[in-house]
Amino acid sequence: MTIPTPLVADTPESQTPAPKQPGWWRTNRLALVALLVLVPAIGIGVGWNEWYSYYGYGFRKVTVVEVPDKGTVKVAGAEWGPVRSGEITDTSTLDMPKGTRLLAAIVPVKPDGKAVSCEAPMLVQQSTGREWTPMRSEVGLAYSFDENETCVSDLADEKDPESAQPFSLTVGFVVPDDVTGPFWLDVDPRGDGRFVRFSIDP
Amino acid sequence: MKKVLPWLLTLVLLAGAWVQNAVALPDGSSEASFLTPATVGHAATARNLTLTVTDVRAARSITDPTGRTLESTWVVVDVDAEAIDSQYGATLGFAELTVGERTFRATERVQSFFRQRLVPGVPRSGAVAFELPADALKGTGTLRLGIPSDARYDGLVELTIDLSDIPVEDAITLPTTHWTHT
Amino acid sequence: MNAAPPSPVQERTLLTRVRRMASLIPTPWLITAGGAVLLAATAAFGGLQTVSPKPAPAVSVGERYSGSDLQMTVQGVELRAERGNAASFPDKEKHEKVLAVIVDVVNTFGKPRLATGSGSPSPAVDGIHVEGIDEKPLIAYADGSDGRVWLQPGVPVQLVLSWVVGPDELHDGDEVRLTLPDSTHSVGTNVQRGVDIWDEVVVGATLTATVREIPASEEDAL
Repeated sequence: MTIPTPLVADTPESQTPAPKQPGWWRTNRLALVALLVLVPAIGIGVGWNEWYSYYGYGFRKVTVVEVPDKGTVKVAGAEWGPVRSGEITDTSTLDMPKGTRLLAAIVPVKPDGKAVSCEAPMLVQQSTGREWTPMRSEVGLAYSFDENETCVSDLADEKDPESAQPFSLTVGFVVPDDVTGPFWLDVDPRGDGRFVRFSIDP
Repeated sequence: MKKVLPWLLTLVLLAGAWVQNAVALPDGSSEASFLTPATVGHAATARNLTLTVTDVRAARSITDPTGRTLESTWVVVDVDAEAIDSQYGATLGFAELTVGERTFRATERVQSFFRQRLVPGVPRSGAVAFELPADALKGTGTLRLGIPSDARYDGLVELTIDLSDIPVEDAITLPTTHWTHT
Repeated sequence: MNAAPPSPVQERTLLTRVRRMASLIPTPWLITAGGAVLLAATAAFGGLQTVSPKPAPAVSVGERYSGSDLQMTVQGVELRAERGNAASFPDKEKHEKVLAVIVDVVNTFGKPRLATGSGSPSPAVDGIHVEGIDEKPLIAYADGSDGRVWLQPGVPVQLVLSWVVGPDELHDGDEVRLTLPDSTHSVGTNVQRGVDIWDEVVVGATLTATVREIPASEEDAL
């Protein structure tokens, strides 16, 4: 009985170790690079889209335009300011609650041709961000034709839409005694996301 | 062991599915309002709202500040309410009374505190009225009050009322909504 | 490497087994059986001919009708020279009049609902339609209460539905045909998730009523 010859030739090539497999990182490098690029891209894309659909159409206050002290500013086709503000101390004829102050502000508005529209101004306490909106009938202030809370469209010539006349926003706020200034008076004209911010301390 | 493993896995998955089904919240729970429980006479705080229910009464007729009188079965809730951070859009816009299977919305047929403005830090007082069918003054009612007309994802103050226990008067006059501290 | 391909011997058996099983299924039998079931079901449902819808029942003045989760009882139809408690404003210069339908309504649904519905035809109280008038009526409380008409569950309320009509369109004693709406309730699942929707509006009942004219002088008494 002879020793059977081996079935496979014992060649030097079979002795060399199997070629090393490329590592996990190398084989997947394309996918990893794609992830690195796409994840932030999607995050930014979706995020921007959502932000724009909420803030982008000019219906919400986004960008502040601060008005210099006793100055004016031009936003959305009108000149706003200078603001006058103060506390109405004689409230004997009004229906005011105990422990509150009646703060008033007047903002002259000069439209540059076309009428401008805006919501009622808001009083914001600078330190806390609490905000108040104008009150009138609730404190017994009768409605007055010249005291507008929102922007009006007062055309000098009814047929000419570019003949808007200047007017004033006159607003009063009922604020608790323990709420102290300084405040901002924010007016948001319809148009873009920019809004006018006056700094007041009545 | 290898043969038993798939069966074991099946059992585990079935058990898991049963548990998940049992604990799952009803549809729409993710939008449910945040409820702050309240009792009569004590202030409760929800988002941008501090509210105190001062009284709950019933009447067969109500008269509002303009003099309009309506006869029906009414539940009148007296409320003191103020906003907290923002007056923008802050009104008493949500007022619902749930009795059994039915939900009622505060009436707009007369002038009341419903949908009136709330001021941060300055409370106002008034009343809201609910019109109920004649036989509904029994059992437990759940009163929910808040700011937004659509209360999904928002906060509400919730109060439980024993409807058979509240005094039923012949007529109630609703107050004009006024400042709480005059 | 764990996923070794099945050895040639196993593979042949698996594939062959599948093929043999497939060939054993009596496909012709199944097709015939399926066809028979389809025919039987069609016959049971009355065949392929479209079924004509049942005509809507007729109700009369004073009779209660239920549809769209509402109970509606038409109490009368009036032709008014002055609007009275109706929400429509006739143009006096053109001698317009107001056609008013007085109806008692009870909301039988468990939540408060507006008496007005969106769209036309409306599933709600303003879906009551007068033959010959295309528009939806305006709705007001009969007792003059202000505000939108919210129907509280189980609370009966009298409403006035009104349309503005020309001076010669209707006269005292004329017969008008009204249709009362019915619809199907569902709860929205997608964009209107959780919202109660009444749609698939159909004519639930018809009503023929006689118009009662109320000339101007009588209105003062109302």
